[in-house]
Amino acid sequence: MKIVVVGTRDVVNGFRLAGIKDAYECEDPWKAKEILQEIKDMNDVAIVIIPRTLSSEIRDFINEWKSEKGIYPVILEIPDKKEVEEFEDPMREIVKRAIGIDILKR
Amino acid sequence: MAEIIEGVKPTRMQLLEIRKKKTLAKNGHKLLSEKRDALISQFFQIIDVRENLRKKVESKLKDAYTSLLEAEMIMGDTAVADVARQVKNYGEVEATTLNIMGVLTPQMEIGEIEKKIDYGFLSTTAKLDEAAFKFRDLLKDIVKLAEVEGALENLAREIEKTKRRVNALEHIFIPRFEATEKYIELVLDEREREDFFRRKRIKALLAAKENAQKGS
Repeated sequence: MKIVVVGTRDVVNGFRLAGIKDAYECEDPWKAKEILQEIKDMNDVAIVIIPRTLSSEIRDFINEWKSEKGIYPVILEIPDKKEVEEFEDPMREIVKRAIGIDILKR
Repeated sequence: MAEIIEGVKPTRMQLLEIRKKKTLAKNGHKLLSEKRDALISQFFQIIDVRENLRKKVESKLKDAYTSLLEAEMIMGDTAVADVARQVKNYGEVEATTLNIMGVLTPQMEIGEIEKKIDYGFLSTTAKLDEAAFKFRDLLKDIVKLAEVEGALENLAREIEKTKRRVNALEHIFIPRFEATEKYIELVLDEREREDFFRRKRIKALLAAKENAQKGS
């Protein structure tokens, strides 16, 4: 199983340096969505890493994917280089739905 | 008061049937609510791990981005991108699943990452090596974080499902069975009283008849 990175140039360069060959560079969320659509059809992907600047724009698509996928791939959202604090942590929504209260604090 | 089950006939057979179903539902409810509590405590444990890991990854990532940026400033970004393409592939993980209380969660193991440089020394700077090492260092934590987040997602889904079942049993099925049981009991009792009275009445009538015959 492999790790796939979809992201902006900095993210892709960084992870390529770390030794991840499957890194797809794209700057806008719609392109990212197309790439993710292709990744969806691969069945040897363990982790999909995507910066939050991209993923927050295609939240619906990602949530839909999360609900229909099995255990793999795990979609991991990481901060971008120009990350600001305003991005909503997607885990909060999950926690809120599961246990009824919001216990993750920012 | 909950509604009774529709189309049920007030017979002793049905009563027994419904009592059996009620006990089953109660047992199921107990088991499921225990499962839910266990899942939630499991969830809480993992969420603490996740919080710490997330903070660690985020600060490390920030650090790594800064190093990368510095390398780009020295070498130029196209040169960095070119070098990055030459690095050997380490992005291979051993993926299995782990069973937590009947919920399958991801379990991943990344191969050993070598601490050596795969590109030439001539056109690169020490800053680039630093950035590369920082990102490599990060990979293990990222895999761990993915594992934990995947586990949380699956646990959350299972908790939701279990909660819904517990609530359905508690608020719909069990009251309904109880109401139906009560209804059948009432009808049966009523019927018995009627029967009893009827017997008494007939006895009285027969006795009166006998008395009348004796008297004549």
